[in-house]
Amino acid sequence: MTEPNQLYTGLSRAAWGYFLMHVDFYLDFNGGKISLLPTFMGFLLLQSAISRLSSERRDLILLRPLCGLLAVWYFGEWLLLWTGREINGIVPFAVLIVTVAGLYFHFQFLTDMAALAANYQPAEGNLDRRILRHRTGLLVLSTAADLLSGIRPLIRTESQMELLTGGVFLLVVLLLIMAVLVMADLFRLRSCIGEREDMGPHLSETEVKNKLQ
Amino acid sequence: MTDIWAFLLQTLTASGAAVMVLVVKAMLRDKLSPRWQFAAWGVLAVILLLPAGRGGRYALLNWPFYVELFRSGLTGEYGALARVTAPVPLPAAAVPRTAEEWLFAIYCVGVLFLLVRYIVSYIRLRLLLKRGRENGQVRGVAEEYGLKACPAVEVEGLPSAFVCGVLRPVLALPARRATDEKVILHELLHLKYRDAAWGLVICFFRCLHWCNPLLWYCADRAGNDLESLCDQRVLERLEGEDRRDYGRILLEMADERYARAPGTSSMANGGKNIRRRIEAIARFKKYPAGMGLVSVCVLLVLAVPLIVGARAETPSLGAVNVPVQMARARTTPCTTYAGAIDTYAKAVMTWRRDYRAMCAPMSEQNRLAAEQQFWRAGGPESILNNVENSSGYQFRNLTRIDENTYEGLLVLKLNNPPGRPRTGSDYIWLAVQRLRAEKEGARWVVIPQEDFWATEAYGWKDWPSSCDELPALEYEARSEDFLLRLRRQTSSTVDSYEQEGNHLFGIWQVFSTEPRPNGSFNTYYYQHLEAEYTGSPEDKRNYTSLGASSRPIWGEDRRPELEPLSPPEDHPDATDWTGGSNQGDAWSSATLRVNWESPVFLGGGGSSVGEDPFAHPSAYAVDFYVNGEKSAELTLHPVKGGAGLD
Repeated sequence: MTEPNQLYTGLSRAAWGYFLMHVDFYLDFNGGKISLLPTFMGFLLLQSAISRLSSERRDLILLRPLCGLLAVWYFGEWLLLWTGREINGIVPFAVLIVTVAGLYFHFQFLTDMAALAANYQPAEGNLDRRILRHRTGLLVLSTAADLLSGIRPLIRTESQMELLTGGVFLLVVLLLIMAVLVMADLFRLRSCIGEREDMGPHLSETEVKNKLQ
Repeated sequence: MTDIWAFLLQTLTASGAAVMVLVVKAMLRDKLSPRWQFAAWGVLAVILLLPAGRGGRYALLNWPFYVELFRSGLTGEYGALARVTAPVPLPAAAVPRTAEEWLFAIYCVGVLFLLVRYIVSYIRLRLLLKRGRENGQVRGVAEEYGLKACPAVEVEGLPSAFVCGVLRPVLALPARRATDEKVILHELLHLKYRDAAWGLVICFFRCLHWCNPLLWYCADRAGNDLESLCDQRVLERLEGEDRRDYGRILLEMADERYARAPGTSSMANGGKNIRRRIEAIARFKKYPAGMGLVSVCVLLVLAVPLIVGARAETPSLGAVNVPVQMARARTTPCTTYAGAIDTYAKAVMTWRRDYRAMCAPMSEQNRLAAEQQFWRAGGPESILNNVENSSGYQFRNLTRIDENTYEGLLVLKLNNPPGRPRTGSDYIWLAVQRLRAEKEGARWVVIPQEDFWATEAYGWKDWPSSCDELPALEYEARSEDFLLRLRRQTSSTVDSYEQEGNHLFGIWQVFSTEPRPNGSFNTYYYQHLEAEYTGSPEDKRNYTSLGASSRPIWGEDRRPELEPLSPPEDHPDATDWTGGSNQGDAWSSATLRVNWESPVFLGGGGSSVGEDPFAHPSAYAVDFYVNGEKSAELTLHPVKGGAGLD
C-alpha cells in the first residue's frame, strides 16, 4: 500500500510533466534559442512520478529506462538550441529511436494511469475509460504527425508543402488539446485519491485487467 | 543491380535499416508482443525489396555518398553514379574485364550457388520424406485443437519435427520416438499460418546478400522470432502445467541438431535461439487489446522514414577535398528542372565546382573534377569575373520543349562593364546565356547552349519588368501611320531569399547562394505596348495624343469589347495616365510634345502567371486612340517568337 501523499505528489508531477512536454516558449538571441519550458524537465517530472507511483503499479518500473533516455535526449536538444544547432541534424538516426520510445512510453504510462484510476475512482466512475480514450487519441495524433513529417521528402510542389504544413499544424493543435485533457484527467485522478478514505486498491490486478480490456 | 556499386548501395542501405530495426527491437524486447517482434522484420524486408537511392533519397545515412566516395577513391572515376534498378542482380551477358566487373560476377555466382544449394537441399528433403511412414498421431492432435492437419510421415534419423513445403506441406516426425503432442501442436500452428513461406522469403534474402554477415544475423533473428511467435500461439492454447511442460520440451531441444532447409519450419533451432525463446516464454502474457494499436503505430513510425528516406542536403562549404566534393555533389541530385537551373545559376555566381557538378551531365564530371580553378578558365577577361551575386538571377523566357527538356535565358547582373564604358547611371550590364535543362536518369542536368554574352540594359537597378535587349514574344498590328507592337517576356526564379536579423534590431531579406535542387519556379510575365510612327515626318505634328487599352485573348476566344478609355476616377483632369490589372489588361494615354519621339509607350506591366507558366495569349485586343478619339479596334497577332521566345 502506498502513502496517499506519495500518490498525490506523483500524480501532480505527472500532470505538470505532460504540460511541460507539450507547451513551450522560446526566446531568440544571436542565432540561438532558449526554451523556457524545456521538455526534458517534463520527463524528469515523469521520472519522479514513476518512482512515487511504481509501488502501486509495478509495470511502471519498466518505463524508467525509456523515461531516462527521453530526458537525456531532450536535455541534449535543449542545450544545443542555445548554440542555434539542432540535435536532429547531428544524430539523425537517433531521432527515430526517440520517436518510437516516446510513442510507446506515453501509451504505456497512460495505460498504467488508467489502471490506477480503475482502482481509485468511485465505483460508478469512468475516469479510467476517459484516460484510455485520451491515451488512444494522443497515440493516433502523434503517429499521424510523425507520419506526415516522414513523408516530407516526397513533397514536390509548394502547394503540397503548404497542405502538409497545414496538416501538421492542425495535428499539433489537436495534440495540445489532447495533452490538456490528459493533464485534467491526471488532476482528477489526484482528487479521487484525496477523496478516498480507505487507501489501497479495491480491485484485484485481474479485475483491473478485465476492466481495461 | 547491374554492377558491384549498386549491390554495395543496396546492401549498405539494408544494413543501416537492419541496425535500426535491431536497436528498436532491443529497446522494446520486453514490452511488445512476439507478433510485433516478428512483424518488425517486415520493415527490413520492404527495404530489401525496394531499390536503394530511388528518387535521390537515402535511409538513415547518405549511403550513395559513401559508395561514390569509395568508388572515386578506389578507381578515380567521377562520371558514374551507383543506381539500383532492381533489388536482384541483373548481370550483363558479357565477359568481365575490369576488377569491378569481376567482383560483380563473383557476387552473382555466389547468389546462384546458394540458390542452387537451397533448391537441391529442399528436393533431397522432399525425396527423403517420400520414403517416410505415415503417422496417425497428428490427425488426433489437430482435431483436439481444432486445427487443419496435413500429411504426416515418420522418418528415420530426424532430430526433431518440422513442416516442409508451402503449397503441399508435409509434417515430418522422428521415427521410433514418441513426439509430444505440444510439439505437434507447434508444427500444426506453423502450418496454419503458413510460416514455411516466411522461411522461403528469408532464404531468398540470404541468397541475395550472401556476403553481408549482418543481414545473415538478421535472417537468423527473424527465423527465431518466427519460432517465438509460434511459441506464443501455442502458449495461448495451453493452460497451467502444460505451459511449463512446453518450456521443458524446448529446453531439451537446446542441444539437438536442426534442419535449415528452405520452405521448412522446425521447432528446434539451436541452443542460443532456444535460450532467447525460453526468455520470451518467461515473459508470456496475453497482451491487452490496446497493445495492437500501439504496435501498429510504432511499426508505422519506424517504417515510413526508413522506406521514404531523406533527401541529400546541399553540399556545405566545408568539403574541400575533390573526391568528397564531387561525391557529395553527384549524390545530391536536382530533382526538378527549376532546381537544376537554380543550381547552375548559383554555381556561376559563386564559382563552386560542386554546385556545377550537382547539375552537370555525368559525361562532364571527370572534366569538372580535373579543373583546378572552376570557371576561371575564361581568364581575367571573362565577364563572369564581375557577377554581382547579392541580387540573384533571373531565368527569362522559360520554354517547355518537351516533358524532359526546358530552355530559356539565364540573366545575371554584372558589377562593372566588361571592358566597355557604361552608357549612363540608369544602365546596367547583364551576362546572358541560353541554357537547356534535360532529364538524365533520375536527375535534371543543365547544358549551356552558348557562351555567356554581355548586354547593356536600361533601368535594371531592381530587376524591373520588360527588357528590350532580350528576346521577347511580339504581337503586332498596323493602324494608318502607326505600328502597334506588344512585347511579352517571362521571368522565373526559385525563391532563395532568407531572413536575417532579429525582432529587436530588425529583419531583412538576403539572397542565399545556396542551391535549391528541389525547388520550383515562381514565374512572372511582363508586357509592354508601344506605338511606332511609320508616317511622314511632316504629318507628325498632326498628332497631339495617343492612347490604348488592351486585353489578352486566350486560345480560340472571341475578341472582347473593351471599355472606353477614360482618365482615372481620382484624377479626372489628367492627360497622361497608365494602369493595368492582374489579368493582363492595360490602359494608357500619352500627350505628345513638340518633336515627340517614336516609339511611344502605351502601357504595360506584369504579374504572376497562372497555373501554366508556358501558356501565352493567342492575340491581344487593342483599342487605339488618336488625339483623344478611338481610331481603331485592333487585334495584335504574334509575329516573332513562339516556342523559343526568340
